[in-house]
Order: sequence, then structure tokens, then C-alpha cells
Amino acid sequence: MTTNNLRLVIGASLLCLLMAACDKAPPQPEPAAAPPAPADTPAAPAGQDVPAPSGEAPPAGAAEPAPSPAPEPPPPTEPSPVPKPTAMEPPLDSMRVAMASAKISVPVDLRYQVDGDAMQGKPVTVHLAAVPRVAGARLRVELKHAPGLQVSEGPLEIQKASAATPYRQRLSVTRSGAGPDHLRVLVTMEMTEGMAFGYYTVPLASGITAQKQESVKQR
Amino acid sequence: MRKISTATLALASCLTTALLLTACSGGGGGGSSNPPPANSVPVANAGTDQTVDAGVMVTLDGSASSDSDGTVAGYTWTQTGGSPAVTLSSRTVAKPTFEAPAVNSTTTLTFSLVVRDNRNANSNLATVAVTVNPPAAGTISGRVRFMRVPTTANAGLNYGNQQLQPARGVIVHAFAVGTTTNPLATTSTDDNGDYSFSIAGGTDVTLVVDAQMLRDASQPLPRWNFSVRPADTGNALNAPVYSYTDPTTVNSNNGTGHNIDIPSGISTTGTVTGTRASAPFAILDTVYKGKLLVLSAAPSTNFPELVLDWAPTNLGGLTYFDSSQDPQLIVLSAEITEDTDEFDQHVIAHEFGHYIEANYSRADNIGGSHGLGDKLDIRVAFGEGFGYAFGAMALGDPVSVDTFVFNGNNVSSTFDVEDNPPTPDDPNGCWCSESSVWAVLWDLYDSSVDPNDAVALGFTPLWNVLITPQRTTPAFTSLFSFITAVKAANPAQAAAIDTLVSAQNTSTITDIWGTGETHAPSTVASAAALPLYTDITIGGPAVQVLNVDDAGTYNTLGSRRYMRFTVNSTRTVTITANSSNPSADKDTDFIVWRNGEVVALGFDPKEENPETETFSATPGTYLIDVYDCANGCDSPQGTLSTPGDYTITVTVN
Repeated sequence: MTTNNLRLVIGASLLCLLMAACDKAPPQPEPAAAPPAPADTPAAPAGQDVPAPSGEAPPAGAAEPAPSPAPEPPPPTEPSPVPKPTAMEPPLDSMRVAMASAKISVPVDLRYQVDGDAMQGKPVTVHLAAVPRVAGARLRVELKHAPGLQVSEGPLEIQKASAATPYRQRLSVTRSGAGPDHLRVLVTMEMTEGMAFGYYTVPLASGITAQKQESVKQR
Repeated sequence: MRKISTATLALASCLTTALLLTACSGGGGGGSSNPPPANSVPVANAGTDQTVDAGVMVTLDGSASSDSDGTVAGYTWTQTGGSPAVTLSSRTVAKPTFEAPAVNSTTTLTFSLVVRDNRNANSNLATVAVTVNPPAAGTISGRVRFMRVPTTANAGLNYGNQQLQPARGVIVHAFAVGTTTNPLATTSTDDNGDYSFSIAGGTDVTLVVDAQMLRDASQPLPRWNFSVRPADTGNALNAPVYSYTDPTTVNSNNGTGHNIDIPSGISTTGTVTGTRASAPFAILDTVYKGKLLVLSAAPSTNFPELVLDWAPTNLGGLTYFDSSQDPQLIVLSAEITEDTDEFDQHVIAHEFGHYIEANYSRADNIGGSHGLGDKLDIRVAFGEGFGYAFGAMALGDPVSVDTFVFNGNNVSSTFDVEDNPPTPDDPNGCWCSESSVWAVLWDLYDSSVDPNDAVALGFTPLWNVLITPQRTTPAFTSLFSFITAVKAANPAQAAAIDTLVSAQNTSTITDIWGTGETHAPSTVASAAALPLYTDITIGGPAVQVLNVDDAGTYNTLGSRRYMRFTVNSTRTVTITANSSNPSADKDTDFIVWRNGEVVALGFDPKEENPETETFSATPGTYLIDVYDCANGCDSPQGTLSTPGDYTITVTVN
């Protein structure tokens, strides 16, 4: 194949965008991903077969204090036990990656799968998996309260988190009235450099629907 | 005695009377008739010329007009010159009055007077001039201040301790009350936030402050144009600049100062109570500090226009810099229940640092999500680390605070650019870490002496490296290219710089390519981390590099690999790359760079394996940025295959 000038111009433009942002995810020339459509499994009662990963997650609905960083968090030498995936949990690779905060944030990939569409008044199961890219302490995954959204579970909190380990949570989310069509998820974790946070958006639609929406957006 | 008859006496009487009458009339006429005596015309006198101030009551005085043989029975005044036309209290009286009009400069009004006597005779014209002076100049001055919500190290924004701070370098307009266009005067606040207008005395004005710092082409260098605009109604680039209208009507005769205090619109408990008016000015205040830092090294800088997009609907975590926009754009989070950045000075200064790097140095940074502690692509590590180091320098504060809110709780993410690694021999130091980059750059700059830091270069030597060797380096912009240039420019400090660098688990830097680097983070396969650049020869054997997702995808260490080759004479070059990824959907991609410019793109909308690209090359050093898309493409867009450890085989012919 021979590079012609047009391609170079287009390429340069794309690279200009690539270079643009410190944090803004630049456009890529790749086509949209087409992850396997998640099975439309019936929603199981939240938390029924997914025990709190470290036994340290508070009971559902418990009022939680704000994440509060410790100045010198201990190095996470002994990671918290990781729950073994169950048959009800989707494979990590099939879960979509939630959009992360653009600026410097917590080094955690948040993956999700929504089993079906969030119809009004009908609970839908949301699978979350927080996968740290580095080890850290006090990994916390919590949903932002929003009018019109009822969530079954409280926050997930892991005292010592290992890199590349998925920390899963399964939620039952019921949307009513004018509830938003997405979840806002806050993830915080402490590293030796300090505490970091990141807000993520999880659309409340099945993978198929979300994929279609994203494809349109990318065009 | 002789006796006179009655008839004779009558005749004599008649003659005597005739003679008398003749004499009274001055004679003439042959005594044949008796015409009425001639009437003298009256003489108009419009009074003496006057000089008055605008706004005073003026009296025209025609009372000295006269009539020699009768009386002055009427007056007629007419304005014969000057503008504006005035309205006399009466045109037909001896002493009409009018209010001297408001004028911007000395103005002469002329009037004529004609008088009429009691026999309806009109006088000639008499004129009088009234010179109207504009009002004495009045001054309106004061300070523009905005309400800042201070940050705390751990507890987010402290709404209970809001403080007024000077709004420096912002535009202030004085409008005549009731108007919103064509301001009577415009100025900018000084380095203390002070403004001063000279406006016609007695003028009622409304003061409006724009969230814009502007020094345009009408002025000598330096120049800038920084503005804050909302994007919630569309594109911030086309939106009007935020402005604040002071609610007080100010009169220019007051002679007293008038401070303009711009409220936060947020209560002491963090509840939004009104327009968040101070936010755009808080943002500009941080930009002002960044501008000062650059001007300290380059006083004649001509800053490209920059728009800062802040709107209450901007989602938390949205903040980024985009150099591809025209004008260039910084977008800031503003969702107050999640993450709002107008008071997070380090965040704003960090983004402004990206703007500086992109315009005056070279930013090979490919962007993407990055987290504290990530092991990053060296281009990303340097760009992000530079941004935070620049912010600390501009603010004179090494402690970076990014506040956020979660379910009503105010929280902060805090780190100290001085404090890395947190403990001696901390394994988290890395040439691939933004925290190591910001620690090294800060220690090069600061004057405090602390462990491993005996360097205090200040900003100018760092600026000089940024604008020349870092801008033109044939390698990617990284800690290696930057430190190599700093050492070359400051040889007496080289040993101390080596000490600084070694504290970050980095070998002594000897060149821009990272030659001799032996430290690889334990979390990334060493063969995927080092060497940074793998040499390949035109026409030589195929070369393999390891491409991994050990530290994440897209912009992390090992997710993209660099290769280097040299072209000695102009020729056509063909590059082929093929990943060992066993997936039927695999996709190998590459980008060819030269001195920071893209010269060829080895990717296609449709997957092609192996990926091949041919281009014309002039002599020089070329870099190949090669990756399996499963590892090197941006995660939100994903890939058709699974990230993992793949070997990529590359040939150059």
C-alpha cells in the first residue's frame, strides 16, 4: 500500500487529535468494539450469590462516611481475599469498560454489564468489576445517589487491593419516574502517592443497546 | 385804542395755531398737509456672551434692548447655531432660560434676538453666544474581587471560609445606566485587581466585569487572550464571555472608590443559592498565575488565544485540554454534587501547563485515562508530570489538591509533588511514572534542599530546555529527552541532577533515548519495558518486540513499543508489522514519527494483518510506535480481540 498525501493529511489530523489532550481520550482509527452480547439472564437478588469480597463491605443501605484518605496508607502487602467468580457473573473480558474521568484519577478500570434494559419499575441487574491497575489500599466503589434510582447494595470496600484483580459487585437497580438512564459510580483508592478518585458512567442499558448507542456516537 | 373785530381775532388765532403746528412738525410741506412723525426702530441687545458648564441653567438677557421713540414691546429668540438644539423656556420673553446640554467637548450655542417696539417696528438681529463646557471629568475607581472557596487537604472545598480575592487583569466596562452596548469606558484591572475610569462627571454608570484577560494586537508584546465561556448552550468557543454586572449604580461625581465584589452564589454549607458568578474569575486567577510564571522567563510571549469552558452542567471528571480546537480549549468540571474544578487551582494550572507545553515545547503525549501510580507510556508520563510540576511552580505550592463530592461529603484527592517517592527507595519511582516526572521537575525548580535534592535552577533554565531541545528532540518527549538537555545546559549541576533522577528508580540518564536504563517496574515484563527504543535497519532482518497489557492498555508502559531506524538518503520505505495475537480479529497498527511529526500511519479502518505502509522518507531518524490494537488502542473503543502478551514482528524495507 502506498501512502498518498490525502492519507497523510487525514492521518495528521487524527494525530493532532491524539496529541490534543492530556486526559481526553483521543479518537482512534479503530472500529467500535463488538463485545459478546451479554446473556439476558434473569436478575437475581442482588448480593445473593456474590458475597462481599473481603467481608468488609457494610450491609446494604448502610450509611457510609465519605472516603477519607490516610496520609500514609500502608503498602498493600496482603491483598484482601478475592471472591471466586460464580456462574452468575459474566466473564471479565465480555464486560464493557466504563468511561473514566478524564483528568488524573484512580488507577482502576471499571467494567460493567447490565442484564437487560432498565425499564421503569423493573429491577435490572448490574454487574460491576473494579480492576486496579496498581496495588492500593481502601479501594471503594460506590454509586451516586440519584432521584428515581433505587439500588440494592451499599458500597464495595476492599482494604488491600491487588493489581489486575477484579473486585466484583452485583447490584439490583430499579429505575422509576424520571430517574437517570445511567449510573454515576465513584471509585477511590489510596496509593503511596496519595488518594485518587474517579467518576465513571455506566449506562443503564443492555450491552447490545449500549453498543448501538456508542457506534452512533463514534461516527 | 383801535378796536379789533371778533372775526379778525378768530383768523389770527387760526393763523397762530397753524404756525405753531408748522413749527412743531419741523416745517416743510409747504404748509399744504400734516403727516405723522417717523418712528425710530428699536435696538435689540442679546446680552453678553456666556461660558457655562453642562447642566447648569442659562439665562439669555435681552433686557438691554431699547426703542428711542417708544418702548420695546416684544422679543423673539432663535437658536441659530450649535448642537444640540435646546429648548428655551420661552422664545418671546426678555430673559428666556434653558439647561445647558450635556456635551462631550466644549460646544458653542448661538442665539439671535429681534425686538419689536410699541409701533410694531422690528429691530435688526442681535446675537449672543453661549459656550458650554463638558462636565469636569469624574473618576470611578476601586477593586474587583471574586469570592474564592478555599480547598482543604482532605475535606474538599471549605464553603464556610469563603474569601474575597482580587480579580487581576480582567476587563471592566462602564455603561451608561440602562445601556448594555457601547460602553462609556473600558479598562482592565491591574496586578492588585484595581480599576479606574475617567468618565464625564455626574454620570450614572453600571459596571460590568468580563471573565476575560485580554492584551490585544494594539499593544506591544506580551499579548494574551484568555476567556471563560459556558458550553451548556452549545459550543463554548462561540459562546459569550461570562460577565458580572455590579448591582450598584455608581455616579462619577461620587469621587469615592467602588469595589466590585463577585459572589460565589454558594452558601456556607455548600448549597447553590444563586448564579455561581465568581467561578469564571477564580479560573482566570489561576491562569493569571500561570501566565506570570511564563512571563518570568519569556517576557515577550505572545500567548495563543485560549478558551476555558466552564458550565455548571459540565460533568465531574470531565476536565481536559484540547489543542485541536481553534481557539484552543480547556474544559473544566463543574458538577457541584460530584466534582467542580473552578477552585481547584492545581487542576486548572495543570491543564494550563498542557497548553504551555503544546504551544512552546512539544507534547508527544497521546492522552487517555491515567491514574495515580500508573506505569505509563513515557510520553504520557512526561506530559502529565510536567503539567502538575508546572502547576506547582505557578502556584508556589507543591501540594496538589483536587476536591470532589460524594453523596454530600466534601473530599479531596491530595498529593505532594515534593514528596516522591514517599519513602526512600520506594519501588514506585519510575521514568514511566508521572509522579516521578513531577517530583524531578519540581526538585529541579525549587530552592529548598531536601534528601536527594541539591538543585535549585528556578524556572528559566527549565523553560529554555522546553522551548528548544525538548521541542526538537528526535526522540519522543520524555524524562530522558528533558533531563539530557537540562544536564547539557547546566553541566555544573549534572551530578546533582543524576542524584535526583536516581531517587526515582531511574539510571543515570546519558541520552535522549534512555540508553543504559536498567530499571523496569516489577509489574511489567522487562522485555516489554526495555529497551525503550529497539533498533531496526532498512533491509535488515525482521525484529520482534514484546507488546503487553501488564500496566493497562492504550497509554501504559508496554502497551505500545518504539522502534528506531535511520534513513541516509531520500527513498521509499515500506514497513510491515504483524502481531502474534492468535485471534482471527487481531489488528496490528503502527505510526511512524519524525521529530514529533507523524509521517505515516499504519492502520486502516478495516483490520489488516500484517499491516503494511509505504511512504517517502528523507534522511533522518524515524520512530515506529507499534502495537497490537488489543493493547494499544483506546479502551472505550475497544478491540475485537483480547489484550495480552503478543510479539510483534516488524520489517523495514
